[in-house]
Amino acid sequence: MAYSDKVIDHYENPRNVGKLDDADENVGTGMVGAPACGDVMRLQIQVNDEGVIEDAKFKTYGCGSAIASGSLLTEWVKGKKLDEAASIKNTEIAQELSLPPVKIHCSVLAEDAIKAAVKNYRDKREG
Amino acid sequence: MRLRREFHGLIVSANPGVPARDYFSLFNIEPGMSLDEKALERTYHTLLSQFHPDRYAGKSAVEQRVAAQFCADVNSGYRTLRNEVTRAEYLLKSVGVDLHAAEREGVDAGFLMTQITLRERLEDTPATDKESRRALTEEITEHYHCSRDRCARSIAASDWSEAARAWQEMCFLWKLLDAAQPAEH
Repeated sequence: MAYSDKVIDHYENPRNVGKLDDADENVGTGMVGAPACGDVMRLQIQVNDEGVIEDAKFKTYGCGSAIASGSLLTEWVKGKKLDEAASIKNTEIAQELSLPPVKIHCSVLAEDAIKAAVKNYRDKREG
Repeated sequence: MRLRREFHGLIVSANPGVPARDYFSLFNIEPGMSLDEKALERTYHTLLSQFHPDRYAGKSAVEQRVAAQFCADVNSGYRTLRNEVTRAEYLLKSVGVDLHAAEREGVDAGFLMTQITLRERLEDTPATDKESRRALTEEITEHYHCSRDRCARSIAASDWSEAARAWQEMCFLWKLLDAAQPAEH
């Protein structure tokens, strides 16, 4: 299976890999996993008072497509409002990276991760 | 309800999504998670030698085909039952549990957090530090056994949703064990 140039670029130089302080109330953490391949992804967002995502970090233990999906997503969500970020569709990620059908679940993982991170942030704020 | 018919003395099942032959009856084993692995291996070799294509060289084309298919089923049945993760998956699918639906529901966030933490620790433990690697592998193995035993208990109690959750955990931990000690467990 051939990976697209964009996948390879994000895989070889993944953006925003790392961790934010989960104890910070401005940080939302999304944890998702795909049992079929054993991939896990942690995606964190740091949100300012205007509800804009200022920073995003991710970490995944998975295949090249999962790394590329997480990397691309963290680039996309920076500067976005929470609702905009949560409405990013896996199909947009898959299309941007030209993921083959067998790797679509990697983009689903990334979409689930940002939704989970936004939800975690909101739960934290309301809780 | 599973439809079965006898074909040349071999059981054929018409349950969609499940391989044609019931692997447990193929190996004459009581369906369940606990299984005598030595007995499985013995039966595997016996069945293979009985139905080996060489023994059917002079037989009719139909008999040759049936024997070849039988050997193929014996091989895939052995691979499926030998490994606990695929055995549990097979058991759950054969009673009609929708594992895709279970996957969409996912496992709990705390479990995933533990997975990432274990992964990070593994990454931070150099392969040359054999003692730390061994200790970490042992810790992961304990997590795995815990999920496996819960899966087995839930299957025995017909608690399918809990069994499906525990099976997913087994998948994650098996993959992690594979990363911790490639091709050893």
